Amino acid sequence: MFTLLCIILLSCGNNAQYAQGQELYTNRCASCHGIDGAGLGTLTPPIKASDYYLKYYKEVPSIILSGAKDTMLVNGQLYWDEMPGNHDFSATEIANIMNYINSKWYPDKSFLSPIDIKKSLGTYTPKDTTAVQKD
Amino acid sequence: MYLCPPSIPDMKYSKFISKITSASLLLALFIAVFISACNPTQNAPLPILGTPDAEGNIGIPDFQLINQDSQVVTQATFKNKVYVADFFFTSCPTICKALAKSMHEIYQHYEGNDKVYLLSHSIDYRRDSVPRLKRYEQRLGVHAPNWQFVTGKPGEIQHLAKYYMSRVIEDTNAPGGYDHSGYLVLVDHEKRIRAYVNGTKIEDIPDFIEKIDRLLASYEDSTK
Repeated sequence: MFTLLCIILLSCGNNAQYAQGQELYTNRCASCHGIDGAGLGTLTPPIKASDYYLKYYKEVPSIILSGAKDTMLVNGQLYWDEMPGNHDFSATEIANIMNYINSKWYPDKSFLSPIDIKKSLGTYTPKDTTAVQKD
Repeated sequence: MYLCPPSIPDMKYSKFISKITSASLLLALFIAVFISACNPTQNAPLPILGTPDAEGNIGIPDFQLINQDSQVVTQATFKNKVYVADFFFTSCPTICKALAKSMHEIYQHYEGNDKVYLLSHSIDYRRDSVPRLKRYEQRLGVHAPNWQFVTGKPGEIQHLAKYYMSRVIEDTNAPGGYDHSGYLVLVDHEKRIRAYVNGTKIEDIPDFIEKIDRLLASYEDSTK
């Protein structure tokens, strides 16, 4: 009976498939991109339903790790604020975050392992930064 | 030697059972009362926070600031409203975006409700001119008067920050030139602080919104 109770309690607190990714996303990404992944005005691009995410999917691990300083065109909107890097993240942590993001907003994407992430790191190239009025 | 187990007469047994039942009923009642007493109810008033000054006054002093539409903002702007205040600057490279996201969640929650306003103080009077504050408003896709972005005379915002239990320090070594705390502070109709939350913890915002609702409800009750 006690074991059963323990199992029920544990499963209640930890029912997400990508619990570590969810925790990392909430603590390190959601403050700008939102728990809902919707971004913030023209300050922060959305993560959910983002054409940029799908188009440059291979480069996403590099952006999470090292950030991005150039202008991004996401769903037709330009974003020019710098994204800070998360230089302390391991490949496993990046995989956990991306698997969580995919499970939430891109269910068609297949599971990523830390090896997949390591292969993709360093592939990021600054995009064509068209002239944009910055403030 | 064989000992026969003592048999409990039927009458005694049923009395025993009824005693147990009434005792457990009493216990259940006690637990229910205990839980309902411990549970923070919707009507529990929020505490009044802050330290009174030498005259025993508590709360935010009068101020005169300029918003993104070049309009003067004073205590009168927030008459009969509760408001959430924070401190930021538009070129802030660290926590301000997280604060803006948290404030934006609150803005969206109370969109169309004129009983709740937001007040973001720029701590960078040199760079954050009125047009720049306007641009920031546009980038967030929000509007005055529900969300006011204000600037003031040199030192005025820093002086006010203390009353909001916030810290603003000009520091050339800090990223962006300023060191500041990231609290969102809830102020009531009487200009007193009633709650605060770390604005960088977006997961704590629903709980903060619940506190705003409780404060609003307390004014609705008093007008009945």
